[in-house]
Amino acid sequence: MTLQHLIRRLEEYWATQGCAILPAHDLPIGAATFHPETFLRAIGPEPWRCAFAQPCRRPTDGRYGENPNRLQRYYQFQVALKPSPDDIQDLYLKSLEELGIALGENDVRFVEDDWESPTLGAWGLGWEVQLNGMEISQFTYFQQAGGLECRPTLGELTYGVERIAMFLQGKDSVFDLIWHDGGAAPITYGQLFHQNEVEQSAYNFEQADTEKLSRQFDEMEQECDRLVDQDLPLPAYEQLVGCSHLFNLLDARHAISATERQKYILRIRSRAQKIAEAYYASREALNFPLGTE
Amino acid sequence: MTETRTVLFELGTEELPPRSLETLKESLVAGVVAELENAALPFDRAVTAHASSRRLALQIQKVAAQTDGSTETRKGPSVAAALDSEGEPTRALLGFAKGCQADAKQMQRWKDGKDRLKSEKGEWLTFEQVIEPRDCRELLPEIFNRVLAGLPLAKRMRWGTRETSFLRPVRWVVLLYGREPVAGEVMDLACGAVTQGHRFLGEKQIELTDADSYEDALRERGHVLVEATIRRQEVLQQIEKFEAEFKVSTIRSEVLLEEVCASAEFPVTVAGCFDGEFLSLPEEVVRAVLEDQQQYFATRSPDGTLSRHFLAVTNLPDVNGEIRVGCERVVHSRLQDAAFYLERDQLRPFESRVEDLGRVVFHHKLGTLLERVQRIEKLAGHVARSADADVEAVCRAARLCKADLGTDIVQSFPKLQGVMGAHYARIEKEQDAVCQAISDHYRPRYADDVLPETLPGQVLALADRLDMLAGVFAIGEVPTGTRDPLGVRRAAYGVLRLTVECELDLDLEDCLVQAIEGYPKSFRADGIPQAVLDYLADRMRGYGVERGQSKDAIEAVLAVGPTRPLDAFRRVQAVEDFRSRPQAQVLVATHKRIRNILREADESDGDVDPELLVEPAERMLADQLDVVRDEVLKNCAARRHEGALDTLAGLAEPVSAFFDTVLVMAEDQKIRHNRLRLLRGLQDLFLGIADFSRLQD
Repeated sequence: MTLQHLIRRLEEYWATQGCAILPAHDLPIGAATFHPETFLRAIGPEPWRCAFAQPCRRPTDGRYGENPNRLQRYYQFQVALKPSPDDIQDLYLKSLEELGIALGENDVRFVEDDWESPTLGAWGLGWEVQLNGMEISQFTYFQQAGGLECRPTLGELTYGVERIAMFLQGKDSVFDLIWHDGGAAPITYGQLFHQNEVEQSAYNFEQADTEKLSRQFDEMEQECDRLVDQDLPLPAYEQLVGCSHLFNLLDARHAISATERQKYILRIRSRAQKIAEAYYASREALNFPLGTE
Repeated sequence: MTETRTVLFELGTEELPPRSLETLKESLVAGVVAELENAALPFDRAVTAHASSRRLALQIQKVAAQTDGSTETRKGPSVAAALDSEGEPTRALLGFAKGCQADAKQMQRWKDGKDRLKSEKGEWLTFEQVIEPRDCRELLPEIFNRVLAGLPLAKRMRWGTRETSFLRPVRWVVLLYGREPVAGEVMDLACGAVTQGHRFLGEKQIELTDADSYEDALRERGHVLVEATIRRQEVLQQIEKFEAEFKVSTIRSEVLLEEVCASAEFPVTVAGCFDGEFLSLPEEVVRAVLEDQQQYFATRSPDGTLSRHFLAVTNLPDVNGEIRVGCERVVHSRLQDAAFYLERDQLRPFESRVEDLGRVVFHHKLGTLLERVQRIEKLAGHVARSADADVEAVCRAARLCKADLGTDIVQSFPKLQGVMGAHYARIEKEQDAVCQAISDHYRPRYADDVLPETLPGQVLALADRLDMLAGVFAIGEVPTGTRDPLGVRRAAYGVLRLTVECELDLDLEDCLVQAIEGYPKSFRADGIPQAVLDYLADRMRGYGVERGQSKDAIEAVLAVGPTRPLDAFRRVQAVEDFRSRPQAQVLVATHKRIRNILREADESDGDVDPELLVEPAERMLADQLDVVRDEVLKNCAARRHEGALDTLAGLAEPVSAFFDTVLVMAEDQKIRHNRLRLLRGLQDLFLGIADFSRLQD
């Protein structure tokens, strides 16, 4: 199964489970959780079901394309189900079967993993799902987002699509994965993204101008504050997502000491909380248009 | 006794954290036993608990169908307050009657002067409350709800739209009384008789028909081994089979074994292998990958070196070898990652990493790690001189001891701090003693951890902890309650173990004075060394008791403010040995008596004037004291506490004679003062060893 096909199969499967299939967020984010359709939808009483494939940026994980298992930009397939249905684990396992993973022949395990995003003021309990010892998904019941209790609870399923594809295609290197096989020759992951890994690693580790980055951080932070004050939580959130990515870049450059790190995290978190509260208020003012659970 | 049956309760959950299962079982049993007793529902004490990743279950034997009924006498208002002058019920009585649900007949009885309790304080109305027996089927759901709500869970979570919370979502509840399903709700779920089998192997839905055959039904139809000991046996047998096949021995860790057995409902051991090239990595790194990252068992070849074989415990059989291949692939990629880190870490000289520590904050008030290293270096030198250790080696190790914290390998495997430092130091041809001390200075990492083997390691470990303790006390962040982020308690306990068990007879007051010198001037308030010593003394109590010393002997020694833990520990030991002897009784009594006398005394300072000693018994005591004093002091100085106490025992007789024939509080002030001085001298001698007056008889 090609990677392209894999994503499409997941989309089809989750669409039949009532999920809106959405485009990826159009800003750099570190995890699909930062997509407003996950983070903000976790807030408040409105039910919500969506799924999307999201490119994620982890500057520190760059390896100049030299490590077969590590990337500074990779894909997560994200499913958000709110309230989390009673059969959510079965739904997830069924999706693996849909992808052609024989559950009776492979060791699929739910391994304890408590998730916390200090920058988003969010936490949840759940598991990392392992397939024959390899982590292929994160499974989380959101308990808090932006410091607000999640009632009802949002269930978040995050598939590491490259990992699953490596298993299905029997490849040892992510760059050998077949992305699409329909034309004259198959298109590989390496052909698509290897150069990007090399160049972006050089940017992340060598070229990123830390002074400029921290200045940009300050500016986006101020803009975020201004927009929250104007009761515009959605644009404010875009500024915050920008701050978070800048923080990750600064971190990759080792430009942040341990104490400063804590301060940066706090700066982002306090704003995430304000945005969460403003977003809740704005939905409440609209009478929770998607209904309440 | 009437008919009894077994109760089966099963809570079906999503995968529970494996390390929580054992304590969950215990708390569940304790909670249910307490509730059943409280409800007066007769049952057999033998309650069996089962737990696996997807269920918690209890079997309670011989549960009666009904609770024992009883009557209880309730005391109401006094007669005066209950009935008015006309003999009619007041509001107080009406209220009581309502509370008791008393009928008109009862009211008449009270009016007629019946059901009263009389004492010398007055007369009250009473009511015989009949507590009707309750059907256990009605009671059990309530009981389980209460027990589950009261379980001590580290982290609770909610799911879906429910308001109930547990460790992980609860999906079904089975409640049987014998063969009979019990109706009711537990954690907002309807109780039933249907359980679920293994996620992938057994029957999905299994209707249980009998509380007694729970284990069998799950094994036969569900493919689930619900009993932890059975899972463990299975795993151990499979491990032994592979050991024989590959001629290896498994590195067995109890914690890992418990964890893997708790995370599979049908454990199957799969043997995998990694590339021989990775055997050149430090053993600790390979084991960290296998054991900590993957929860696999590492194995050793007969010659004791690490072997390429590893064992993974899975949740189902590896029918076509896919699982093994998958496990091997993960191990390979993780080892490759580790090898990459090791290679990259060596691109620069190890020592150059020391300066990097200046950018890492140890604690916002205690400065950077570099500052800490510089303090430890100085302090370790001082301690090394006092302990006759190789000062140069200790100082060199101190300089390098935290340098590995910035390496990629330690960032990925924090547990390997110290071990990797020693590895890199060895590659750069540092002395063995230095490498060993770097790796050892984190020991003891927990209460009963192995101590550093070499003297430089012990000295560095002490300096590391004393620096931290001095700093923490200087900024007043002594841990209270359970919060102890820096591990201050552990550090203090480590100091005791290092000094006592490694037999380092160090004066900690002196060491702590040095330690505080390392901090900026503003930190150096008076009394910090003493505060740390007091804290250590407090730990000494627990430490001594754990090692069989009695509390009062420890108190007797701590009362004289010892600053050398090893010496104090041995002194307690000597006091313990001494106290069983007959002379000890006399001396303890004497010490108590002297303490009482001196407490009241007006004047006791100064030397004894021999001219003023008039009675033969006091002259004799003074003479003996002079002889004994030198001997005792000599013994004490040489830390021969037994010898000192032996000598002291020789005073028992003259002391008895003194108290029998001499009146201390003599009329003549000069004579009285002289006698008090004599006693003061005697007490000082005692206090050189311990405050015997604190020993209980």
